Amino acid sequence: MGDVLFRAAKKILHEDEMASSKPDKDAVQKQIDENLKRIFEETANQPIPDQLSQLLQQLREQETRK
Amino acid sequence: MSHPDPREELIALLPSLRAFAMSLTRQPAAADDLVQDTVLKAWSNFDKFQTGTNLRAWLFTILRNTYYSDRRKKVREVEDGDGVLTAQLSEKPAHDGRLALRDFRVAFDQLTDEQREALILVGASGFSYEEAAETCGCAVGTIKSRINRGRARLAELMHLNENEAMEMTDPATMAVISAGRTATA
Repeated sequence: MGDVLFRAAKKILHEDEMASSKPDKDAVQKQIDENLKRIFEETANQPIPDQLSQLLQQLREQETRK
Repeated sequence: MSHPDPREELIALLPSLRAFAMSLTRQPAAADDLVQDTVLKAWSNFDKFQTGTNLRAWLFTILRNTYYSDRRKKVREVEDGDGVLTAQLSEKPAHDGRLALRDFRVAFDQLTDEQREALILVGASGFSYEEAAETCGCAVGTIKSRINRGRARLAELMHLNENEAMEMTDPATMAVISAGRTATA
C-alpha cells in the first residue's frame, strides 16, 4: 500500500515537473543571475585598496606637473 | 565641458573593474595587480580614448586583454593561495532550495575564463550583449552561446538540471512522500 502511494506520488510529481519545466528553467536562470550579482557586488562594494589609491594619486600629480 | 574628464570617471569605475578582475583571476592579489596594470595602461593611453564613447567598455577591454596576454605569457601556475582549488561542492543543493553562495562560487570557478567573463559582464555588470561582444572582441552570437553554456554548466554543477530535480531529495518531495507513508502506516 505504501509502495502504491509512493509510486502515485512519484508519478504526480513527475507530471508536475514536466508541466512546469519551463518556469523551472527560468527560476534556475534567475538564481544563477542573482548569485552572479552577489559575487560581483561582494568585490565591487569593497573599499579601494590603499595601494591603488596611492597609484592614482601619483598619476594625478604627474598629470598636473605636465 | 559636455563630457566629464575620463580620469575622474575611471575612479568611479574602479569598484566594478576590481570585481571584473576578481571574476577572471579569482585571487584577490592577482586581481589587484591586474587592476593596477589596467589603470597604468589606460592612463598612458587616454589620448587614444575618444571622449563621449563608452569608457567602461574601453577599460574592461584593456583589463581583459591584459589578463589574456598575461595568461598566454606564463603557463598558469597551479597556485592555491586563497584555497579556491581545494573548495568542494556540497553533495546536495542547500536545504532551502536556494543556491548556497559558497557552492555557487566553487561551481563558477570551474567554468572557462570566457564563460565567466561573459556571464559577469551581462549577468552582473549590466552590459548589453553588444557591449560585451565589443569588450571581448567577438560576435554577439559568441557571447550568447558562452552565456548559455556557462549557465548550463553551472546548473549541472549545482545539481539544478532537470534530471537531478527528479530525484526524491528536495524537502517538499520528502514531505509529500513521508506524509503519504504515515497516512497508510
